[in-house]
Formats: sequence, structure tokens, C-alpha cells
Amino acid sequence: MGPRELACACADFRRTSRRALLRRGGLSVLPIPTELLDEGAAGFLQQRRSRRDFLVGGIGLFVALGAAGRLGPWELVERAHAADAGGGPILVTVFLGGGNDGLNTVVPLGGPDRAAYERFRTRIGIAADKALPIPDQPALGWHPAAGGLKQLYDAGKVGVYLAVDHERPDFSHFHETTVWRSGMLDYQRAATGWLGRYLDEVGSTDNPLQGLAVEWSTDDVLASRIAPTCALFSPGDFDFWSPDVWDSERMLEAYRDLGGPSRTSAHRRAVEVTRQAVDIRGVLGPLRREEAEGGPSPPPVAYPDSDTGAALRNLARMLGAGLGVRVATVTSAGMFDTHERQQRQMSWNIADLGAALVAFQADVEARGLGERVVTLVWSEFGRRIEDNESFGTDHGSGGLLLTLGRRVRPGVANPAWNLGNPTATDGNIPVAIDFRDVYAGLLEQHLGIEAGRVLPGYAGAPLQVMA
Amino acid sequence: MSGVVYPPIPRVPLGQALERLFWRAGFGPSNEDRKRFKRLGLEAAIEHLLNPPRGGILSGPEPVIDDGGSVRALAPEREHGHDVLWWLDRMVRTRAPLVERMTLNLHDHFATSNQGVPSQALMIRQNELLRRHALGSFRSLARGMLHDFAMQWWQSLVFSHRDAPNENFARELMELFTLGSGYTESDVREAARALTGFEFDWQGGDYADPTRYRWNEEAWDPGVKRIFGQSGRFRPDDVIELCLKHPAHAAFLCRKLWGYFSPAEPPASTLRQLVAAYRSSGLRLKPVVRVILRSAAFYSNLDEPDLVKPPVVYLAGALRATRTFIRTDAWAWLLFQMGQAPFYPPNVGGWNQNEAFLSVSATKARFDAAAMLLWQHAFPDEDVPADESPEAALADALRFAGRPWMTEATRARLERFAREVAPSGNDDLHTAAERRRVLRHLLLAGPDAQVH
Repeated sequence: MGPRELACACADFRRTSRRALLRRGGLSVLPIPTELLDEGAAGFLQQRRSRRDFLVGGIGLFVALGAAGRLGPWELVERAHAADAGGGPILVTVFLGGGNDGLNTVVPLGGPDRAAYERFRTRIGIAADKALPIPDQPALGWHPAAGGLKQLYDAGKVGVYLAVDHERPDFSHFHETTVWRSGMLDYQRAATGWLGRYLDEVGSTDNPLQGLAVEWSTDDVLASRIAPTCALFSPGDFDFWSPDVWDSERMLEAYRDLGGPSRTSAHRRAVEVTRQAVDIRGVLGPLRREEAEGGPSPPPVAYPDSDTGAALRNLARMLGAGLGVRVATVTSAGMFDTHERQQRQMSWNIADLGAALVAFQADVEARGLGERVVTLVWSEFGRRIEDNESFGTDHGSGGLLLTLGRRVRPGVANPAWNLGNPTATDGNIPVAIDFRDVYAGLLEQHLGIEAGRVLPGYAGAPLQVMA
Repeated sequence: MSGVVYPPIPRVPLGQALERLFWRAGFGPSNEDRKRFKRLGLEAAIEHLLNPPRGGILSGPEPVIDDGGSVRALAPEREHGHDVLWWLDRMVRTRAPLVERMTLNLHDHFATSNQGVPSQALMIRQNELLRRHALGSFRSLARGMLHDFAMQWWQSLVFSHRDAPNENFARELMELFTLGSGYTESDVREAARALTGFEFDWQGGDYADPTRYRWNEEAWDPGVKRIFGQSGRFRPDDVIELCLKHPAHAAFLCRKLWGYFSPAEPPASTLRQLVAAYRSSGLRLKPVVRVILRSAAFYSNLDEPDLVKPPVVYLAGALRATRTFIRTDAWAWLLFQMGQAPFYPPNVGGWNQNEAFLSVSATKARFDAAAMLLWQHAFPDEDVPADESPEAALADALRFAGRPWMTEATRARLERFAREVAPSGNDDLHTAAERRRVLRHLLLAGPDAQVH
């Protein structure tokens, strides 16, 4: 069974609470150990749990019998083992914080866009002969520092989306990052992230690594109602330390046992999450020890020496370790809010991003995950067409989205920016693509879930984003 | 207490009731609180919290940043994170814990984030407004919020002009601050017109300078507006009054306030008492809180606390229990990692309360915060007798952590740990000390410490 089939199967495994199922009555319910779906056959079998142990404990997922046919729980487990051997889809998002200048990342080289570009980008416009060519798009070119992106694009692994935004862009970093993270236009009401809701729909209730922010703090893209997620920048970081305590293993054994049986839901949650936290530390043990013993083996392509490179490298290791990661978030080290003296900063940003993605893609493929991993590169908005007197650009609508992976639909989706008349739009790029159309495409074609279940109020048409 | 009928004090076990009361209406009891009110009774404890001493509210050493080399005072209006520390310190040192807790509740209710406000000083000023009315008049508070500059930035009231009224504040005022339901889109739009006219002078000075803010009659829409079926040339303050007089307001607000004190819905009879207390007192908060603290439903599940401590309550409670005062800015970033840095609510709806606070990373951050606390109380191995008994080690930890609630299972596990960690001989100076440290840490950071 290939990844596509599994993705569809996962979507059918609508997780339902025990109570809700019982209330419905009469419906047969099968318990599924979620770690199985998350970690695949190998990890599960290695734990050598007996059939009886499995039925008694460790159950976090209940599946209506309709989805499972006439199988008993153990058979279902074996089926899922087999299915998971092919692996489920993984989505990685890379955030370019501050508002990346899409127009100088993928530069118009011909047609009316070039005329408008030359007229309004008088200070930091990129000369046509300096841009890196895009073979199938003569009217567009990459930023001169985008060699990494070009390399991936030329290998047929990148999808480019121009002038992406939504119907009411308002240029506030705070508002727009919330809109993009939540996938909801009503930013002030957003309490969950779009990938957090995805996990609420299909994820497990006991594997926080399924939603992994490779960051120093949690990422609201992953904010969920029930599905646990976690933030850890480096597998070596997730350790518990107590001052002047030498035997932390013994301390954590006791910590994990505290609380005991609960009667109230709040206390039960506290007990459960304590166990989860200690268990994650255990799961990450091999990676932590690997670091302590001189570091992991070198990746096929060296990562750049930046936080972008470090985060993606750490992520690739965790993906390779089979920890059941379904979605992960990374924030680029670049400073994309380039109001002043943009050129130098942007060159660093774009070179760093490209180099990190080249290394990550090679690393992921070398680990046999090339068919499963798709990376989405996003920013909260684009920038104005006209550059400002400080040799920078101000917040604007219509940014750039990139998708990366072996199975994404390659090429430029809409082959021109269509800048129109910048004087009439206050220098803003007319919005061509609703960002949620890309989200919806990824949800339906990659993650295998109906977009409407994850994007409330969304009634658009998902774009074809996968090959 | 004029004109308001309060429920009788419920018959509940006094010791457990005091734990519940001091935790949810503050940041946990001290041993003195426990001793004193076991003598004086639950009602005396409730009135003590509702009627805090005037003046000299903060006791204990002033907060500082101690870098090892230098010790400096906080700059809450300027330095990032110092705003958070400034308020945390108030929670730790206050002698009016219910006022501070209500200030936090109202911050969540009128959730304003420094993310959308250009000045920390404005946030501190809003905080003082919240505290001033924490047990006072909700009418004064709501009016104050309309004229609060942090709120005006956050909800786009600044520059809401008659030609392009911004509906942000009008909408949140009705949906989140006063009504919840019972109004229409048209009410929001019309109210937005009435709320126009606030301006800010971009020239010079800083954002906290009050002289740069003004209400400009020329920018206000003087036309007739129709709000909740009433018509008039309403001005900004009129909108607040219309909302407070709306029939849905009292029950909405009382239910919201109840939710900060109890995870369950208020029983219908309790809600009626809350609404009656609120209305007959002229929209004052203290009578409402008094009804909450006297209601039997507030004392549910006394033998197993059923509400997750908000992170800042967890931290302030642990600092109070261990008499730890602010000397490091680590608390600020730990609160961000725990998922509740005051002045930075995630959105205008405030924090997702209760179990939503307990993510894996937030839980690890709570463990890390306890480690930071213990670091402030570090002691050399030699301070602990190498032959300390397991019982004495656990007794020390309980004393240190302020005698927190724990389950029987926790006690049994800690006793087992204490027994199993036996010093290997007289030249082993470390093991007994480590046992104390671990027991302290587990009591401060374990799952039982996360609920109240």
C-alpha cells in the first residue's frame, strides 16, 4: 500500500471519544493503539507487547467498526502495521518571519510586469541579467542568491505560487501571522492552528511528537484542541534537569509515577501529560546520546551553519527516527522585515533558505522519506511593489508561497505576478491566490483529509498542488 | 452588603475548603492563613480576602535582576520581560491576593496583548485600571477600558473616523466583554459609528504620552444611530451604557466570572443569585465574587482539585510557598514557555483555560520553572546530615514546598523513593542531599501541584 492510500485510510479513522461513541449506542467500536499508526510496524513490534497487554492498556484511538470492516482489534493492528510500513504523509512548514519580499525572490523579467517593476523598484530592483533563469519561465527569474532554490526547482521538486494572500490583507505582522497560522480570516477569534486542527481530526491523543515545532517555543500553527503536540528545537534539549541532582533517571522514574488514579478530568490530564513528557524524553534518548557521543553521522549535503539549517537538520533526524511526526514547523533564521537596506539582508535570507532546503531535501531522501515529506514555505505577507527611500520595502499584499518535495506539482502555478497598475493599488500586488486554496490542496491531496474539516468557513476551490 | 442576599456558608470540611479558597481566590494559603482561619472559620477567610488591608499591600524585598555582578531594579515600562516580572512580583508579594487574582481574571476578560500595543507603559497603565476596579464597579471598569490607550490601539479605536468606522471594538465589546449574544450585526455597525472620533498625534514624544491622545468631535459621527432598538445621537460612553443595560449582560458576565473560579457550569440557582447580586449592587464585582466564594458548587471535588492552575498562578503560588522573591528575569521566559505570559494573551479571547494549559512543552516548562526556583535555594551537600532518615527527608520537602496537597499515590511513591535512596556510607555526603532536592522538586513540579 502506498502513501496515498494510507493517507486516505487515515482520514477515515475519524477519532472519536469513547463517550461520544457510547452515547451513539449500538455502534461497534474497535480500539487501536495510536502509537501503531504513528510509529509504524517496526517500533511497535519491537516493544513486543503481548496481545493481552495491548487490549488492556495503551489504547488511545477508537475507530467505528464501519471503517474497519469485520476485523478484530488485533487483525486491525496487523493491517495497520502493514499499511504504515509505507509511511504516512508528513507536512513541514517553514516560516519566513517578517514578510518576505516575494517580488524580489521571483523577479518579473518580461512583459508589463517588468515595466511596472522597473518603474517602481528604482532603488533595489534586480537587473534582468543578474537574475537566475527559470528554464520554463522566461519572464521570471530567481533572486541572484537563490541558487539553492533554483537547484531544487530545476530538479522538478518545487512549486511556486505568486501573489498569494487573502481577501482582506491588513499588513499587521501580528494579525497576518495569526491569520496564516490559524487558516482563518478572523484572526482575533483564532484559538487553534490549521495543522493543530488537522491533528485534532486524524491525530492521536498520546503522541505529542505527531505535531512538532522545531522551535524554542510552541507554534500556533500546531495549536490544537485535544491532540497533544510539542516544541523542541533539538532532540538533545528535551531533558529534565534539577540542580545538583546526579541521578536524574531515578528522579524521573518517580516523577512519572506521581499522582496515581484520578477522579477529576483536570488531575487526570496533569498525570497523563507528566507521563507523556517523560516518555518523550525516553523516546528521544538515542538521539540525545548520539549527540553526546560526538554527533550524528554527516548528512549527504551539508546544512548551512544557521538556525534554519540546525532546525531542519534536527527535524530530519527526528523524522528518520520514526517518532510518528505528522506535521512539523520550522522558522527561518532570516530577518524578512526588510524596511531598510534590504539587499544585503535579503541575499543572506534567500541563500540561507535555499541552502538549508537543499540539504534537508537530500537528507530526507537519503532517509527514504522522499515520498512522504512535503515542505511548505510561507510568510505572513509580501511587500510593496515600490521600494522606499531607505532602500527597503514596506508591508504589502500578495506574497510568495513555495512547495517542496518529490511529489509536489512542480513549476510556477500562475506564471506572472500581474502587478497591474501599482498607483491604483497603493503599491500592493493584486491578490491572485487565496492562501487557503493552497492549504486545502495540501490537506486533500497530500494529507488526505477533506479541507472543510480543517478550515472552518472555507468554501474555495483547492488548488492542484501535488503532481 | 446592603440589599444583597448571600447564600449561607456551605457545610464543607474547613481545612480543604480553605485550601480551595486561598488557591482559587489567590495564590495559595500560607501556614499562617491556615492556622488563623481554622480558628476563625470560612466566612472570616472569605471576608478577609474580599476586604484586603489598605496601603502597604506589597511586603517583602523589591524585585531586582541579579546578574551575579550587578543588581538592578526592574524597568517594567521599558525593558522586554520586565513588565511580566513586575506583575509576577505583585502576585508574589501582595497582601491582597484576591485583588491580584481578579486583576488577572479581568486581564483575560479584556484580553489585550502588548503584541498589538506600541508601548509597555500603556499596558502597565491598563493593568492599574484593572486592579483599581478588580472588586469594584464593572461600569467604571468598562468605561475606563473604552478610554484606555492600550485598548484603543489593540482594538483599532485610535483613528476610527466617521468616514470609516472601525468595527473591531464595537464587536468585541458586545461579543466578548459584555453580552456574548443577543445583538445583531447592525448593532455592531451602528455602535462602531458612535465609537468614532478617537485620535492620536503622530508627531513627537512617546506612545505613553497622554497628551497625544484626544477625542475629536469633528471625527465623530454625529448622526442618529439605532442600537438594540434604541435611537439617538449616541457618543462613545453611551455605547458602554447601552451594553450594560442590555438584558443579556448580567448573566453573561456572571457566568464568565464564575468560570474563573470553577470548571463546571454554575447551577441555575447560583446563577440567579449571582445576577441578583450584580444587579442589586449596581453592577459591582465584589458582591458577585462573594456569592461565588460562598456557593456550595465552588467547593466541589474538595478531595481532588478539579481545575488546572494557570501557569502564572502556578508560578506565583510556588514562589509564595517557598518565600522566593524576584531576582532573575528567567521567570519571564519561563512564563512564555509555560504558555501564559501576562500582557501577552494569545488573542482577544484570552487564554484557553484549564486543561488547555497542560501541553507537553508547557508541562516541561513547569518542571524547569521548579528547577529554577530550587536553584535560588541551592545548598551544599554538607548541609544535610548523611544519616537523615527517609521520613525526615520527606518532612523537609513538605515544609519547603508549603505543605501542598497530594494524592495518596503520590505520598506512597515519594515515601518509596525516600526509602530506596539510601546513603551508601558515612563518607557519602551527596546522597542524602540529593534525596532532599529530588523530593522538593517532585512536590513542586509533580501533577498534583498543577491543579487547585
